[in-house]
Amino acid sequence: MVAAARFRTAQWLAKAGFAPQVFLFRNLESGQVIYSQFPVFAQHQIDALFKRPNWENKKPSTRRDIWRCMAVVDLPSYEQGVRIYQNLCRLRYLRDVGDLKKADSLRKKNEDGHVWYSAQFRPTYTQEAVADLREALTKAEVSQGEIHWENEWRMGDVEQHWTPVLPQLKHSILTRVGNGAREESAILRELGERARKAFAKLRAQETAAGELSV
Amino acid sequence: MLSLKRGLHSTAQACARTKYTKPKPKPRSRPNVRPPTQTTHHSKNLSVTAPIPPAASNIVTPDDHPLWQFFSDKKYLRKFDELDNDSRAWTIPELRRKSFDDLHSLWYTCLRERNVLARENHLLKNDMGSNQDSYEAVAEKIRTTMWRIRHVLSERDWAFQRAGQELGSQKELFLKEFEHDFLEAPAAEDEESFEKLARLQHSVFGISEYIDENTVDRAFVDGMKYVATLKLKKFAGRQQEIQSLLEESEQSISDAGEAFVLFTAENTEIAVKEACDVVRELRGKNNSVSRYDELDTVADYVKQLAATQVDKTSTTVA
Amino acid sequence: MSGYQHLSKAGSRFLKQVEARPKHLVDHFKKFEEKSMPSFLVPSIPRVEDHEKFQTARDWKYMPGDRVVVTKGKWKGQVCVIQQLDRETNGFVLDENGPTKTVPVPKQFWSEGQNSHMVTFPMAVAQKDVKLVADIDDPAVSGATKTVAVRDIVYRGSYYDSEYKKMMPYRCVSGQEDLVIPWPKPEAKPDGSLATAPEVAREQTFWVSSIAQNPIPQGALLTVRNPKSKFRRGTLSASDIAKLVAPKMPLSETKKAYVAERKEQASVPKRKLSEQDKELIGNKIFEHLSKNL
Repeated sequence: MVAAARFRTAQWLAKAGFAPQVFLFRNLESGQVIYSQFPVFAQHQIDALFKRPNWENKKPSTRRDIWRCMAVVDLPSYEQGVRIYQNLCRLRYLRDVGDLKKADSLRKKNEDGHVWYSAQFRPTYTQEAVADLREALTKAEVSQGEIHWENEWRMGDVEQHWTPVLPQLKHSILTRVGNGAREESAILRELGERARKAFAKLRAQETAAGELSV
Repeated sequence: MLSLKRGLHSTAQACARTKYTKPKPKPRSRPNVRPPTQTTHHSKNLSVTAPIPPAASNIVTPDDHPLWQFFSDKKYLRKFDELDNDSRAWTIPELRRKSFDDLHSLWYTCLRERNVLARENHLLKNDMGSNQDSYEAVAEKIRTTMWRIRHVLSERDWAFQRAGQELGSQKELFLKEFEHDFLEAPAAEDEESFEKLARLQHSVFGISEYIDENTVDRAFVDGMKYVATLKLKKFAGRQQEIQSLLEESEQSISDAGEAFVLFTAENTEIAVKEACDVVRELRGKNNSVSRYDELDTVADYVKQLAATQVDKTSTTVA
Repeated sequence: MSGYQHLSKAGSRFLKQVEARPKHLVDHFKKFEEKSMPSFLVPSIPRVEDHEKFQTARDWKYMPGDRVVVTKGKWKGQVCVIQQLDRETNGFVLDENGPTKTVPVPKQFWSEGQNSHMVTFPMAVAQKDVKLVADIDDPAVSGATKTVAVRDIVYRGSYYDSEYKKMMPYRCVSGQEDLVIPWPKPEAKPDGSLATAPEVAREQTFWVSSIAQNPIPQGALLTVRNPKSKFRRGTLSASDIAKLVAPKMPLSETKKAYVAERKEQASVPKRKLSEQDKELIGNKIFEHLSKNL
């Protein structure tokens, strides 16, 4: 069974050698976003995140060429990683089912009263994902952490949207040297490796501090 | 497997818990219970927030970004009165006076300006839906300059080809005439005569004064032989040895190696005499260049000479 | 309008059809246009088609700065200075002495400081309704000048005008061609940003120095001209000829049958009247004539 084929607990992630991270992928055609605990995604995530598909919010396919990594969130612990993922899934549920009316009232509309679109593309979904990410991190009270964005443009106005609510959170940009689309998996793997090492170091420091205090 | 749920039709009633039945005993405490693997849960106070739009202000464009070439003074669109509406295109007579390098750079200047104008015109027509032709009118003038540049270059090439064809019959006559004048000139005017010769070798044979600029072809080798012969003839009257060499080689140098030695010698009597000695030496060793590999051999010589000159200049500089 | 017409000609034939108004409706459209347009946008003289627009000074005859006299209408006899050329109508916009009209202007077109709906505009005057006014030497009083109106002007020869920065024709009085009326001095304008300084433009940098070396690099020549162009080859290839010669039309079934029939008829030997036949015919005719006459 593939790792991404079901929900994984913090313990499982730690044991399987994954880093405490959450991944966001966006669809190039429609602008929809998938959240994942892994640097990959599977039908499981799509099924979990698109509970009420309709003509404006179709259930996307798993075609790998139309998905790009939008952001990677590094977190200080596995529990928090899982928590953020759960928060994101919950927020998506609220947008699609629970609080549909409010979510819809916040979207930009075209003259027909539908969500603004050009061909298949609806930019609001990606923008909502950014807002949800902020909400998830805020409500989970994440103090430390880093978001690797695909570019500066995507994250919105930092001064206005991020610094007031999450002042400790760091932002960085994924490397854009070379063919980013082709080498995405390698880039994500390296990011994961780095985060895992950072986490191990942090844990070692914590245990050392604990021993000292004892 | 035996289902424990099975019973008689009255069993359910009999087993139903009523207020008179005794409560079940508490389960015994288990010593090692496995803790749940999943402990986290999503936050309870989540709420839907407004979408965060992307911000272009996060992106800083460097001043040397290559796409700035498509903008005039980094302006999105110039106003119509900022355009240069009065200037005219270059005329063909004006362009005829300009060298290839000038025309080449003018071409690219025009091209860059047209890129800017095409971008602006596209925005105006496509984005704003206007039917104003102000940008196009300027671009059209620039386009006129561009085709005129091509016209002038084409004209030059035709002139060169026609001149080559017409020269064919008169070249021998002209060279003979030049040789006569060159040899008749008195010794006091040597310097001027040799300057004339240098101009002639460039204009008729295409031999540049700077050795490394030359490409060795048939015209180069022929020119070299002609110049070598002329040099010998010039100094033959003044030096017996040169005279004798000239007579030995039947009034003209036909070997490319010998011609090269004489051709590269300085334009003085002593230098030519030394060159003559070298030629004699070559003949003594029976060292001659076959007519079939003249071009390759001379190309090698020229390359070597250019290399030694480069070495010399670098050492003098150092 | 797709907004790509400057890049692509797709659909341009259709647009041309739409734009080409039928001749008999042109006046009708014009009348309609005048009625539907607000009065401050309607020109005083009719607009001209693109191909009728004046291009050169020769067409215009008078330039901004010239003094002219109006010869027709309410303003007949007024001497004015030409302010600008109205390229839409081939007319001249004159100064405050010239014809004007006062028309209402809606508020969204008001200029700054305007406090009334009524605005006075100068009206353009057609070329045929103005005559040039010039000062010439008075033959009666030597040393003095007199102001005359010139009936018409003709052009004789041309010269380089450094004010206009181009070749201009000499403007002479029709009927007295030794009288040259100079062009007015145009308003001085700085050189444009794309302009080249005259000394740079005039500097000669190309000299023919060699007959053995091409003044143009071989690589550059290929971008200037196609050396293998079929228009320069001078001979037609088989494929060119095939393109130029129309193919033979195939024959239809009926035509084929007709041709076959003609062929068959042609192959049958021609019959000749024998003496016997002639005798028979002669007898028949004789019989007929003898019976009827």
